[in-house]
Amino acid sequence: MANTQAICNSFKQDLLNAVHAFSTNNPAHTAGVADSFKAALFLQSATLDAAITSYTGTAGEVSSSGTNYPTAGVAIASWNAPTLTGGVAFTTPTASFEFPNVTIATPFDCCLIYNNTIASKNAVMVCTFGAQTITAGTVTLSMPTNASGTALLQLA
Amino acid sequence: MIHTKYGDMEESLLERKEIISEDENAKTIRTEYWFSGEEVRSDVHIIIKKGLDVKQIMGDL
Repeated sequence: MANTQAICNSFKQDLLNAVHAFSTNNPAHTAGVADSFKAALFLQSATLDAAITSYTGTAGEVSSSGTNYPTAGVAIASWNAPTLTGGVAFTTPTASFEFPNVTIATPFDCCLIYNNTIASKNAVMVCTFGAQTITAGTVTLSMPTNASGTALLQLA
Repeated sequence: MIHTKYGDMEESLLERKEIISEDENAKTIRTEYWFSGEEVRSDVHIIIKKGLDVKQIMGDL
């Protein structure tokens, strides 16, 4: 089994239901307040793909035991205000994700981004990369350029 | 000084290796620090190359 990078199918439906809000322009939610999102790391042995609907716990997630990894991942500080360019709407987190001073001996190869404001912690996307381990160091995930064609999340 | 699994160590005592790998989704820069044949620290910088898109599909009426 393996992880597969994908926009989560449930997220597509969530968009139609106004479940997520990446900016303060979210009258369906709390006016003036963006939802909170988190990024969690998952092991190479996990099976995340487009079918995942939410963050449901620690199954397949990097363990917090002896690793200094924070269970449920790290908070995403904020997202760029969603922009529409040439028919493509897009947004990207405003900063990298950092997991400092971690020791993870079991290979990990993906990051699940999910909505932490919603009680059901609905999934947004699964990002994959080459499997890694790490010793007493920092895992940094840098974001792509926030533009049409490169932004982390795009609706074409 | 640099923090390692054995606490802070003088960086000049460590052998530094940089390993770059890339696939269609991300470029990864792995920096390893070795002391006496043992990896005592590593940092992983994953650069997501491009995001994912949701394509709109219009159904028939």
